[in-house]
Amino acid sequence: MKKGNSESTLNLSSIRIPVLSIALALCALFVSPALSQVTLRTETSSVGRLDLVVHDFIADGDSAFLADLPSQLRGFVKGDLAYSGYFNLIEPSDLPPDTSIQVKRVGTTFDTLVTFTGAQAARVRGSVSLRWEQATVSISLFQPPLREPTHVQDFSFQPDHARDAAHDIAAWITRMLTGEEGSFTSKIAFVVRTAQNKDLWIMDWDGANAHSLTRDQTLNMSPTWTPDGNALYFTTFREGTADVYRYEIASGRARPFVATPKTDSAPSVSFDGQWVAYASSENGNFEIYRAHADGSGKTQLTFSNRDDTSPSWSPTGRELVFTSDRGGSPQIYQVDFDGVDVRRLSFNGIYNETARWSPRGDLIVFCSRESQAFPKFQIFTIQPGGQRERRLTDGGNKFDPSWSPDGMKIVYTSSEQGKSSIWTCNWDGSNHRQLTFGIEASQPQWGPILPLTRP
Amino acid sequence: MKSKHFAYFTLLALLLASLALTPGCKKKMPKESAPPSKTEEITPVEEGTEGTATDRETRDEMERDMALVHVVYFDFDRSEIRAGEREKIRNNADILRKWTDWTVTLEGHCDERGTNEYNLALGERRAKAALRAMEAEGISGARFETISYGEERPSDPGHEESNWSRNRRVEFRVKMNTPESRN
Repeated sequence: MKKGNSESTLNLSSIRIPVLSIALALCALFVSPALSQVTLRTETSSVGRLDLVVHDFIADGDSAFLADLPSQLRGFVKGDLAYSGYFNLIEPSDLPPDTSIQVKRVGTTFDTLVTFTGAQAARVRGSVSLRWEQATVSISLFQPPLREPTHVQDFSFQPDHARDAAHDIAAWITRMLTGEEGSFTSKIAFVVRTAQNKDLWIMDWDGANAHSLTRDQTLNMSPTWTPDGNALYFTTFREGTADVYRYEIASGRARPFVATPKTDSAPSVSFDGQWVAYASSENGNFEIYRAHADGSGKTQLTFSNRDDTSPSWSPTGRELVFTSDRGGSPQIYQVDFDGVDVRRLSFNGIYNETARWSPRGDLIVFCSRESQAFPKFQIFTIQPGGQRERRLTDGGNKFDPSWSPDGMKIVYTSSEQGKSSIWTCNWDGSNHRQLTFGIEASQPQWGPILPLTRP
Repeated sequence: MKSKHFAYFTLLALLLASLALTPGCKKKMPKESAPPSKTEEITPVEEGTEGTATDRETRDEMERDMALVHVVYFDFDRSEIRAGEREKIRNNADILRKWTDWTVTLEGHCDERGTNEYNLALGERRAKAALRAMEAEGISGARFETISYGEERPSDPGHEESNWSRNRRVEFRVKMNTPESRN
């Protein structure tokens, strides 16, 4: 489980103990191999992958009436948990059989208690019922060797919204077992080319429900989210030269943020939503600027005689990373909030571009051409000090990496096949998955964790 | 490679020029498969207005000359005008010296390699390199505007070097102002 950085020091403040009562936690820490598998990852998350079994969801009541709803819901929940990066899913059939024993309880009838044998993986059980078009699933979490469920929760939903309910359920399971807020309810903004134009699109974190936002016969590019998930800042050519606009997702309206006669591009919203950094050639060559979210208080941050672009905020807002070719080829640099202390972060690779700071603060992801001999762009991470470069992809060109809001996953563009498409992988380069098909998609930006709007 | 391209464009230019000389052929687009641009490249000369024979001759000559304005090509991730392209700069400068009322939008473009955001900067560098080269030829910078489309408007959609080399370019989008229209 440990991902090969044994010499890095453990940051005790980042250790998060699964949400359990103190008694349960103590008990678990002493006796449970499953919980001791929670590795203390200092790189981008405090948790490693937890072994988890999602048992078949059972029908509570008329199973004919429920049809395949229990198995469909279980499939969505299981898919979400496996995709999330927090869990290593084990099929129930791969476990040694658990033994059931019947115990007599004082004042009650017989209860069935399960003795867990074999793998000490956490268990999810679900029981689905249907009443007046409203489905309810009761989810129980077991953490061996504790025999009683550690958590039980009911979730109600409309049967045709099982996928949304599954995001909710998976988020709850993850919160209960790891203490982490997963990215289950987040969305991804991206760009789709049609002929000579490009439009902003949006989709769920797993690629479902993809649809266009803009349709205005121009080039719309480089979307970036506000932290409340209500708006996107983006680059548009609708007035001739490139400008940065703000697009309200609810109303579909867009208005200028920065629109000089020169090129204004590559917006990045700070994690607190107060500032937007961008690149502009307003004063000659491309430099990094920041302004308040409403466009006021414009301040130039970089001053070089070459081009600086693609700024991205650190989670604290105290510094930004950006791309600059001031050293001859594009490389990743860092500058602080006030524009002082410019430092180069990337030294390997002949081209290094579009750096994005992890929301956890511990890694920076970017794309890089390693050498003339390996001329394809690939996705890499480095630590903020510039150490520990790690390559996450191989094969054809990969661009535009962006972090999931929980810092566990990365979304990127692959132009390996004919049309470029959007993929995700885990922070460590595992679990690559294609999200878009049949459209020419690029420049994905992963949005914030959204409050549930489940019917 | 470079000389091949130049030969190609010379050929193209000759072809267009011969078309321009054909009577009855009214509209000439100067560049190969040029995508539509935000800036209108041609101010339509009012057709049908009673012009003198001299006006018509002038217009024909302008259109002939416009067809001879060349696209300038660049090396990968470079924005310097390379030696093989300097002849085109001189050629374009000659035409602009002849038609002093023309104004030009210099459109910088890149191939698809590299990120969209970096390529916006690179495209602008190329457009400005073309502007400086024109100024060095003695053409007033006031007659030019620059715009970068980065890698967003390829003239060739392919994914090989032969396609990319045609996309790393600056297009001269000429506005054929007349003394009256410029004021």
